[in-house]
Amino acid sequence: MTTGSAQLGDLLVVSSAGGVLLDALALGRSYPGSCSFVAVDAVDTREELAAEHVEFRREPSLRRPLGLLAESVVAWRSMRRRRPGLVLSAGTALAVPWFVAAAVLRVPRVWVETFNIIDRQGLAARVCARIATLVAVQHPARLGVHLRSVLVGELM
Amino acid sequence: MTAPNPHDPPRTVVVTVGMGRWPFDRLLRAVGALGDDYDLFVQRGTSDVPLACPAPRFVSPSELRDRMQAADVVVTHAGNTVRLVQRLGKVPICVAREQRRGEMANDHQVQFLRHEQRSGLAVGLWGELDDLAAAIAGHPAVEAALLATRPKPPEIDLDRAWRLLLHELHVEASSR
Repeated sequence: MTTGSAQLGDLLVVSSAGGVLLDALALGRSYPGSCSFVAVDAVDTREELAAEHVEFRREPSLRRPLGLLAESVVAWRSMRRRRPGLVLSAGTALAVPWFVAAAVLRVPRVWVETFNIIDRQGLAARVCARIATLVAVQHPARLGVHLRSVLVGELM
Repeated sequence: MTAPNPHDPPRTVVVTVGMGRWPFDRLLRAVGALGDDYDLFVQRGTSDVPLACPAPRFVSPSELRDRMQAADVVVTHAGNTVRLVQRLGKVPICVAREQRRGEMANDHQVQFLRHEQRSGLAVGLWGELDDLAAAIAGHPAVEAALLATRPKPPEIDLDRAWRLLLHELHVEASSR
């Protein structure tokens, strides 16, 4: 694991508020290396990430392409500065521009399917899963839904 | 903490609807109709349905966990909170947000709640929620019966999760 972490470098976790934060936190805090966060500014992210290195952002709307583009530029600049070895998210909309920027910069991307995804996912999840390097799933039945997935079991 | 007696009527009820931007008026209207039979606390999200009990829009995760742990009954939308409640050793009463009612952008909560209900891990309420009061009143006995028979949530192994992920990422990088 140490070898893998050294190869992959620092982890950048991108997260919205709510349930997706719980999965992202679980993996972020257990990463065998350095980890920082980009999160939507909310009551729960403020409390849970109080002791972490975090950059707060506003949740973009998937219905506003210009907003997504602007956030992608912010993400691209931030990642050029941070140079993370891996980007991880469980959702939701904020992850899209950051995954796009990571893909442009060829930074590996892990999309985490939340525990309550049994069948069809939302739009942000479909986009991020499509451009992810790897999708982490929590239910055996979700293996095979994605091109590249791994069953990691329950995270929270 | 001693386990509640399944024959005692519930007193404290916590309702939570998550952090999302979609209001969950249907559930909150049903909660508002419960009257003053219970000591109610509601995390109401973006909904503006008037309630006579403490009903902040959002609550910090630590406060919400504490309140859910102490409550006789937890009523929640079918988000990730469901698993949190289950890991507290409880069976939540759940209501799925429905796309056709404007409660969410898709129906993944509907699919999830059907799955949990089939497994005996949650009590699902559907439709106009006219049965919420009866479900809460009878929940201690229902919960005790389900807890006696349902499978326990599996252990969490995050180190193993990362070993698997890093291995697959290494394989993926090597294949390029």
